[in-house]
Amino acid sequence: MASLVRVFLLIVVIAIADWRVNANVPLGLLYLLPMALAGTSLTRFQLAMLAAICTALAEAFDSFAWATPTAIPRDILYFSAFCGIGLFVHEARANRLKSVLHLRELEKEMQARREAEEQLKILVESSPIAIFTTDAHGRVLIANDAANRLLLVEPGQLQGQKIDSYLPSLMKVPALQGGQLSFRTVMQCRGQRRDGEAFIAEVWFSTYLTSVGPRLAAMVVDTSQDLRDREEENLHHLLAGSRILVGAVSHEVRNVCGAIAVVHENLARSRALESNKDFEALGTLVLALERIASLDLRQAVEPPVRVHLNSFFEELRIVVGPGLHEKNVEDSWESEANLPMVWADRQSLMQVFLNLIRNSETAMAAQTTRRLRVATSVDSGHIFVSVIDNGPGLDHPELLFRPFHQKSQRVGLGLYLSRALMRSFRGDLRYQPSSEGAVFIVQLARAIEVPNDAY
Amino acid sequence: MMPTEQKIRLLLIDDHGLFREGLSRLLDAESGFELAGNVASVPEAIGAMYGNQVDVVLLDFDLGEQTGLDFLTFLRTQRFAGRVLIVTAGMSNLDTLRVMELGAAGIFLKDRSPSDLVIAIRKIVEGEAWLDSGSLDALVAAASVPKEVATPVTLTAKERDVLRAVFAGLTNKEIGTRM
Repeated sequence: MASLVRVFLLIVVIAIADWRVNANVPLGLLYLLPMALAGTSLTRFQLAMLAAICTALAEAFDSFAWATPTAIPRDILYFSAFCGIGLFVHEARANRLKSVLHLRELEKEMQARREAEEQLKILVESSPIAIFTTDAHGRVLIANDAANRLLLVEPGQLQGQKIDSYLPSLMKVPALQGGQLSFRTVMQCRGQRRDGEAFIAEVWFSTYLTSVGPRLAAMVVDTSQDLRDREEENLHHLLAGSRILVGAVSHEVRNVCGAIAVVHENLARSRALESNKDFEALGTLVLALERIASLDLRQAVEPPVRVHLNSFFEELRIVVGPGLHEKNVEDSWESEANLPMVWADRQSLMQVFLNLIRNSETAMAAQTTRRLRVATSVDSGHIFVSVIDNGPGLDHPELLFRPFHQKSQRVGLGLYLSRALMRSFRGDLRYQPSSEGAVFIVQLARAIEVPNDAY
Repeated sequence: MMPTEQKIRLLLIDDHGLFREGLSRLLDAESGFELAGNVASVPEAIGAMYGNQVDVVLLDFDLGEQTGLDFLTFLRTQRFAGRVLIVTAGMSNLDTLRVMELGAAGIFLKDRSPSDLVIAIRKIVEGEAWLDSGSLDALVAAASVPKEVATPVTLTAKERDVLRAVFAGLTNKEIGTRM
């Protein structure tokens, strides 16, 4: 606004001066100044209008007499000069503003990039996962502290070293060798630290092309401990299952031995076989068999711990969900949001539910519509989980939990083992007769709630 | 204590048919014993208890769908005045404790001599208990297991140090070296 006032004041002053000065001095050229000033604030149309006004004023107050053949070209020149200078300043200012804005944008982007790079650097440096990049020859370009720790290399010493002495499989990446299109994947391979110790490496890597050739960025995690834990856990569960099975066999053998011993005693009392050596030997054999079967390994089970059923069910759904969907089983899970804690061994409980759900899948195989429902109910001391399918049901439910029984339906030992596992942590597993499908009830003992018990 | 001239009436509950039949013949032949019945399951046993005088119940623990605990619980609700001897091929420590808590007079393991069973029955009728060394060990072991106590989870000083090291991003090996 102030500049506009200045423009108009200047025009008025020039017009008065041009009017008052009567000499043959062409003061009209002075209108270039207010036009240049106006170029900084007016639009193109406004500048054209102002140039027309200035042309009119210059023509009105100049010392030249009006003659159409000379006045019109002169005014065109006036107008062109005034309008041209105004538009020139206008465009110059607009371009300058654009440049300033562009510069600001660039600065902002550079600042953002610097901040992103800084954050990325902090992220990489502070990451517990080993991260490094290599060139096409497998030479390490940059590596974080975790990479140095993983490979037992002094800080800064990894740069420039070839990665194949630590992770040989990485050198076999085809995209790195042949400069093919970049790809990203994950692989598990053998790694070796600087001191020669081997480890299992889980490697996420991607290749990318640069002006100096293909490069590789990799993140590496040592999963040896996971492997050890998994193997130990597998062994633990194998032994636990074996203990229950051997205990079951011993139990059954003891039952039979008891029956034979009673029959032997009856025969001995009848005195019909009093001096029969084979009869005496039979008694000795039974005693020997009893001794063999005297081990009751079911005692040696792990003590139960508190298990959070809601989180357990989430885990179970992750495990069984894809398999159910693949077999077109409609599954529904009906459980309260805050189920109480229960006593159980988490892995054993998972085995029990996996066994029940796999059995249901098999039972429903011939059904056109397959439905599986898992529902919970709670009383003061127990939580009951029903596993219900719409299969054909069972013909001999009384044989379901008997081990080594020829008429057992579905799987022979799975349900026996499942019940034994459940009973090992004060729970139970039973079959509930139903008019439609099969219903298994998993009973769990309610545990005392402990604040902040997150397991 | 039972009068000496009166026969001891026994109810035998076992889902193992061969054992049940053999034992029935053995006990039938034994003087002073009279078999009130032999059944394979808890519902049958409950049926056999009604209108039948029973002095001693010989109860197997594993009875298919149900266990001896279910029948012991029933007997407790019925205020059964007789004695119960668990005759089993084996039980867990916890179950051993639970049957004794529910009023069993003793536990007889099937790998013992059948003639010992006769002695065991007479002992418990006289008011004594029958427990072999294995069952006693099981009772002690089950009783020594701490009851459920709502103790908050607390960490030892060393566990806290390990946790701090984990949060500091140290590897297992580094933590091991530091500890």
